[in-house]
Amino acid sequence: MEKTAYAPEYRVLTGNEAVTLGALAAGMNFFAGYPITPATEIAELASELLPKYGGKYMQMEDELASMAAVIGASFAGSKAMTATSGPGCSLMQENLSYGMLAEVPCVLIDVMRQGPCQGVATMPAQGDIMQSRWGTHGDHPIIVTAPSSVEELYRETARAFNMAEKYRTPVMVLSDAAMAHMSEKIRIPAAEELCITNRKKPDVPKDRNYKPYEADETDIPPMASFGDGYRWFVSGIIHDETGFPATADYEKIAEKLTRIERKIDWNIKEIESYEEYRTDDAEIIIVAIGIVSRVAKGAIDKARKEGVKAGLFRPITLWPFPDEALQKQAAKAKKIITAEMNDGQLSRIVKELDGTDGKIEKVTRNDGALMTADMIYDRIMEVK
Amino acid sequence: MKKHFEMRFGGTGGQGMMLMGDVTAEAAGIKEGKEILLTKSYGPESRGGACRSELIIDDEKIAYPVVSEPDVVLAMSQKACDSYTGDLAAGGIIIIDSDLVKSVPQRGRSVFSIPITRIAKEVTGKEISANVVALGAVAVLADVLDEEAMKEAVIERFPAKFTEANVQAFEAGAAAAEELVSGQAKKYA
Repeated sequence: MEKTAYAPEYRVLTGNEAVTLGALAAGMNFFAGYPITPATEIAELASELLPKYGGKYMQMEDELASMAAVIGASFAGSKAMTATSGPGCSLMQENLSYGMLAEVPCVLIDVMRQGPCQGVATMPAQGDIMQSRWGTHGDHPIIVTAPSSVEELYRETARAFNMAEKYRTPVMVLSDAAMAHMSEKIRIPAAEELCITNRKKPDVPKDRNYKPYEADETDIPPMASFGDGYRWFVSGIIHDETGFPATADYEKIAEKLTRIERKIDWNIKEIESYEEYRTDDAEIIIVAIGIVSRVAKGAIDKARKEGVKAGLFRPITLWPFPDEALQKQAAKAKKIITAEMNDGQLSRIVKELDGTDGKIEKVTRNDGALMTADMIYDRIMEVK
Repeated sequence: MKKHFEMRFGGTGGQGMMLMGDVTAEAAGIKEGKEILLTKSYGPESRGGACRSELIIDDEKIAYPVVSEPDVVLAMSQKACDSYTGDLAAGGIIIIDSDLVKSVPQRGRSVFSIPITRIAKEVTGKEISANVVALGAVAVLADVLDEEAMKEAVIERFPAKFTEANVQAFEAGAAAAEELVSGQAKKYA
């Protein structure tokens, strides 16, 4: 399959187009999905382009089947993705959990809309921050990234594939209804800028001694594809290195769960990503993700004109959360203001961090409209 | 010239308002290297519902993706004129299709009245070219846009067999706007 779908360097794209093209650039060759506003155009473009580049597009009967098909395709060696919004994401949680335990590289795009339930299909929100981490049961690792522009949606979707392949885990990308449908000018990176990563494959003999979940020192087991000739068993039941259930062995249960958490934790420095804006001397730190972080910069500039030292900390990877970097800022800040389009999910994450005690203020918006710079500016001026 | 410029193209589904946004974004963003942010909104109908595309052009990164004080509003229907001109920026202009918009609610604003759809029919024989006529007019009236870049973007947007008709439509729209401008003190800046 061709690596990149497009040659021109600069293009005007919507967020949803950027996600699809970023995925193709990273090597996506399978997409299964079920349409939902505001994510539908991702499936639409994937259905048009994938067959042209030797990939497969599957229209599924619902979101449960979509996530199942993505996992199956990944086992068969594909770079697989699905895209949905909050209600569909809820339905995908069970199979997402399967992907985590069975260690299946795949990418899930969640274009957030106003929830809960069917909510408001056409309006943006940031209400899936917690769902992306804890939507499924049990302790489990996950990587979630939250871009803030059309260009970043392209790059982070490509990076999501790389991380999924490297760490053998599902990776989620959080977009929203506003970014999905707005167009911006983006620079399409050259293929080599994307550092395309492919999963590690086993090089042991294809005999009965093959252990599909035997990890090396990286904690990430090499992954054979179905059809490669290895005989292996895969299950959503907790298993040992043979892939067969280990449900009667406490030690092996703990070993499996500890290892899949560790493979993310130990690589946090490589996975985590964040942006700091005017934080050097900042006494008030705004914490915001995605589309809200854009207006936060305007609010900060305006406050600085009034002599208030404000700065922005923007987690790009939401999970794992860039704890240490924010704690460093929190330690020297007088106040921390979380700004988000929900009732305070990001605020709770920040509250858990050392050094944020008693410093946290909130700005929230839950009516489906975008947060404005003035909402954040007013809060800065209130708490300064 | 204004650094931050907002435009709104409003009309009825089928008039090509979305495409106007695409072409203008391409001209300003890719051909002229400015920052652009384009949004579109429409009803569930594929034809006949009110719809609009909105474009922000700036020299710097655009944070807030909402047009709140448009400098230029194009109204291709009475409904679009009624609902999309209320928040016009001070000093902003309204461009209307004079056959389709009979009354402009705001008084004391600069209104450029051009029979856009009629010109399209006269020049290319097809009403569907109205949005290209409108692009020609907008290119002249919105000082932030470069006429040549806009024309190029129009040409590139469509298959070659439409180039001649589109160039004629674009130039007819530009000429109609020029005519109005020459009667005015100066080009809107």
